[in-house]
Amino acid sequence: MVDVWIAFSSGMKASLLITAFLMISVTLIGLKVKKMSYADVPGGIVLVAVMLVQMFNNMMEDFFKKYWRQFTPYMFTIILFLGFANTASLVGLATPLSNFTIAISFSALAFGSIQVIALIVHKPVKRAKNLMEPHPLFLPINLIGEMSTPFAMGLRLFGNMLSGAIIGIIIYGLLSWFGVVFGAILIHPIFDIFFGLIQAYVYTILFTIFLSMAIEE
Amino acid sequence: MAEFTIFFAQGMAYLGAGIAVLTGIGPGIGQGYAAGKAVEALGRQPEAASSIRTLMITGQAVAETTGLYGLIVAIILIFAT
Repeated sequence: MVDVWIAFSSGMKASLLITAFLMISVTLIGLKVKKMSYADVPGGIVLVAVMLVQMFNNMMEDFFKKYWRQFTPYMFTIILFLGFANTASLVGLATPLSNFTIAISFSALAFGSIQVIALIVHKPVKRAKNLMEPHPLFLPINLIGEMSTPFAMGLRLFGNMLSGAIIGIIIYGLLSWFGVVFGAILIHPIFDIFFGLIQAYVYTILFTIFLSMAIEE
Repeated sequence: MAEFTIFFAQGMAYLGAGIAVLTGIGPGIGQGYAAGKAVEALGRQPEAASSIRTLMITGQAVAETTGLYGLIVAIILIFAT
């Protein structure tokens, strides 16, 4: 069993730890929310969770006109995982998204889920008719567009996180003890917190826009 | 002519990596122009500050992608011969 754990690369280990942490904490918070009745006033971490979900619901209602109640939990899961994963190098783990396999699987997730959801909501005949939207000659252009935009979404995350990790390795390698101070003040807030959270938000918003364009008439 | 040893291939790869990062000039010009237009729009209507800020950050994060393509090609060339 230890051989399986050692054989993973550091990005995969960090991804498994982040998933386990999120599963446990979100379950505990959800149980606490469920026990409250309508007239209680929430306090502490339950208040933070309720406010976050409400803010995200308001944002999603602007994009999805009809189906927002079904797809908001999926989007919230993605932005929660990406937010915790991009800032994971503040606690000593490696960022999962600096691994090429994980970043490509994020773009495969976006591509696969948009196609499957569009085939379920519209029947296949209507979906094929949507793909030939202005004129049937547009079919190759529409197909290439459906494939290239999810690929660019995953690659954007990969490029940002990998460049932050490489600059961190160079700074820590060249300046021995001064590099730690320099890294804590300049590298980690810029490359991990600022760029990481912005890229997580951009991935979620683009996913929402493409999903709503493929579903709504 | 040079024989095609591993040193020749690696030297050419480093040269190619240097040329590939020159694609960073495109997003630099485009994002600077977009930031200038955002500041101009803010001066015209200061009440819409937060939505201007959100839109500008989103637009620049999307326009950054093509500059990142050059960086990824350069990293692949350096670390995988």
